[in-house]
Amino acid sequence: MSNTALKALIDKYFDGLTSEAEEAALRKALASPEVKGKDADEARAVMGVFAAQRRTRRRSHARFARYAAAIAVIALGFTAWNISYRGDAPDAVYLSYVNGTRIDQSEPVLAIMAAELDAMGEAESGMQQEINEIISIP
Amino acid sequence: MRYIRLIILLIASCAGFTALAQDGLAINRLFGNSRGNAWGSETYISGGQLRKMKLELYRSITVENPQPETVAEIERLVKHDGAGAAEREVQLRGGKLYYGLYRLPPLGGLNRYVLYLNSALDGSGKLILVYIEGKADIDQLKKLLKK
Repeated sequence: MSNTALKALIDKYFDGLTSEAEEAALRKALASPEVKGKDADEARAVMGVFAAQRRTRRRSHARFARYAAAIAVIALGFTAWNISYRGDAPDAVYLSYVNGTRIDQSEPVLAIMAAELDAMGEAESGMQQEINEIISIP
Repeated sequence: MRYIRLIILLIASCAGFTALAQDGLAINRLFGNSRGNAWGSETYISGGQLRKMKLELYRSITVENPQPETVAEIERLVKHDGAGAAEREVQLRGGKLYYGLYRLPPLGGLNRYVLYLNSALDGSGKLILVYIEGKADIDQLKKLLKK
């Protein structure tokens, strides 16, 4: 790029009229140590500042994403805890059909479950007792 | 965002395993047929309060005064699934299965149990079949039975 073209591009840059392609070309030209002069130094300084600002903005976005992810993980953890220990999960299903009648309230359905497990428990205890009696036979 | 997507995917996978764990069992065909039937009851519980007991799924059928052929069919299916059990406690009366507790091989990280009680054999007239899935081990399950 000739000195005249570079000067014109720098002026255009400071006027805020450069396209992205022109800005990239200017940045590339200014990266060369052979390009010297007050205008070039000013352009380098300003473009450096903008680059730094862009980096800061990128860092800021990355930080926001990290915070958002952390909050999401905490929220998920809380939900999992809530489901595990409080037992009031929105996806819980309680359903019984007793002699053709539908029951979908948690308490009566859990009572049916308790009664069935009680009956199993009695059989289990009875079996344990029989085993103990067999073992104790001399 | 990648992590959030991953977490959601993991949760969805776990839910899938839970839903599939009961598949492949012979007794599965006994569940889901009791709507409107007057011969007993069927119960389905998942999540919620079960999780306090380290359980995820509870399914049962209770048949009042079961016909001999009904008993024979249910007993056959229970014995079929029980044959692959990792652990079992069985009590027979008069050559018939009276009580059975079967710990099936875990699937999808969940323990699976089949419980069977034919108290029609001792005159109370009920046959109960229960299928349970959850993290609870056999000792924790037995504590639930003895509550």
